[in-house]
Amino acid sequence: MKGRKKRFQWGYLLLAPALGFILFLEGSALFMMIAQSLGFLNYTGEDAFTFAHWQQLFSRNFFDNLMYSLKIALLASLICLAVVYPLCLSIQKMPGKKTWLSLWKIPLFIPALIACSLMGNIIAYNGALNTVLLALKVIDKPLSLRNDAWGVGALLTQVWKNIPFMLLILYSAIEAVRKDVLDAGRNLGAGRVRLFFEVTLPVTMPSALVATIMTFIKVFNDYTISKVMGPIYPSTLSNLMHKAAYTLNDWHSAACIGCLMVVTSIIFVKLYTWLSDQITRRLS
Amino acid sequence: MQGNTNTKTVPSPARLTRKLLRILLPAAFILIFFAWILIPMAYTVLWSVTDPKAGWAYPNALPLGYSLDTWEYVFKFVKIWDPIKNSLLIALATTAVAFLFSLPAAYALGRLDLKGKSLIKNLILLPMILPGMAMAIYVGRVINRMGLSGTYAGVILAHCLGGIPYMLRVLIVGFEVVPQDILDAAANLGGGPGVRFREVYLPMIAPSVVSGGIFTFINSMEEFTMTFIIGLPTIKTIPTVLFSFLGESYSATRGAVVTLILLVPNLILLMIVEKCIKTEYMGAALGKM
Repeated sequence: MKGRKKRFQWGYLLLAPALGFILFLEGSALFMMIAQSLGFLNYTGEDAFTFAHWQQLFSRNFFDNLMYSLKIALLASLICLAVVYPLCLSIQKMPGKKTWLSLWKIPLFIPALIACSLMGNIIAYNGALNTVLLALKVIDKPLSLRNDAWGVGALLTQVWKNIPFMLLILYSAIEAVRKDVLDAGRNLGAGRVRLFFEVTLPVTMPSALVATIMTFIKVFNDYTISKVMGPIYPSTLSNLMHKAAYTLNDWHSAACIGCLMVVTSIIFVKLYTWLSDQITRRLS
Repeated sequence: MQGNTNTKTVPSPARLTRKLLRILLPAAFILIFFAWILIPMAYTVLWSVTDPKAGWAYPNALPLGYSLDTWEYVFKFVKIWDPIKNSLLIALATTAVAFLFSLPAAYALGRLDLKGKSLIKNLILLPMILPGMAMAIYVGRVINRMGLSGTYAGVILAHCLGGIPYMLRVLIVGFEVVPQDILDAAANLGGGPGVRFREVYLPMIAPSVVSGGIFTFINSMEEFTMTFIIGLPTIKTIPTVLFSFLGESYSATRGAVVTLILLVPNLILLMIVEKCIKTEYMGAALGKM
């Protein structure tokens, strides 16, 4: 009993380098952020406890950026979901599906900035998209999609970058749908469409939700893609925060925005863990 | 089912359509794939060899002239070798430091019975969950307080923060799959903890070390926000150079060259990952968040 207890503590000691490092850096960063949002760590004046920065935060500017972040995140995750289902189903029927799957995974290893550069060339005035649309006479003037007011460029890049991640999660879920259930459905006379809506979709729904939430958080917190491809105004909250801190030197507002983003991320991760618990319970 | 076997001699229209679909569907799929992933890359290659004097603008569907001037420019005047060296150096150091930090914790989480294991595993995932820019700004403040802003040490520490979760997750899986009976056999034959670690654990976790290392390396190579906040202006890596060509001083040709410089090593690493690395490590690093 005594020996067991000793090993116990030794084990916690082993965690120290990795856990200590992460907790020290993240913890002190979070602490500084919260302190600064409440008026401490003032770089230019006196430290004072105040909620004034939180009260000033909720301006028109902030809500525009918030709505933009939510819009892009929601649309990107939903479009990805709508694309990934048919993609998974067709990959499943392809010869050499393993190769196709790994080829589709390529954008997962492509950094966000590179995705911007790649997509930027496609949606430019002389890019593939405009060239094809002009040749088909769908439009008679090239579309301006980079840094457009609505955010099509940013949305396209986000979809391009995030599809492989969703594919990874959803493909394994769709592969796991039991073949005998599908066969039973087919024997009972259900067509492909009906099989999809009544068997595959409900069974893979939890994974789809999880993948959607993860994509949502990633897009919501994004800085780079919106900065390079998105509209000048409004932009994501990360952009607003960076601008507040480094351009306007308003570190307290930046801290408030940071706190809000952390809280949003944690809420969505909680949702994620709750959902994945639900899935494991259903599977076992 | 029975009807199908009898239609061998006279192909029914339904059968013909199905046969046609079997050819058309893969063809369409391949086309979509090329359009989705390969056309952007092809355009980038075209941009990188576009002659800057001739240019390439609407309504020309293709560049007006080709030359390697931009490549020459980037290597001569942007001093791209420094960022390349910085990126590789920082990525290698990050991988090494992340490995050293993660190894004991991975052993503890993979092999020992610890209370609150799931809480610890969640805590380790914090850097993957928290918003990148918000954390970069304040981790940057912390590193600034330590007097490490704009130094290699500061950037490597910040990159480790992003790398350790990947490394740890993959290493934990590596330790978990070591069979207990081999360890018991080694212990029975008189192997102490040191021998067991060297002779049993190390060879058996080697594949996970390699895959964890590759994921950490890629993560560091593509890390932008941390370098942007902490490293600039003294330490430039390839992503920050690319950012300047895509943002502040927009240049499609130079951007394309830098894109290809960063893209090619990543694709090679991806191929290595796909070829050599077991799917369970891949899943551990990317799958369940």
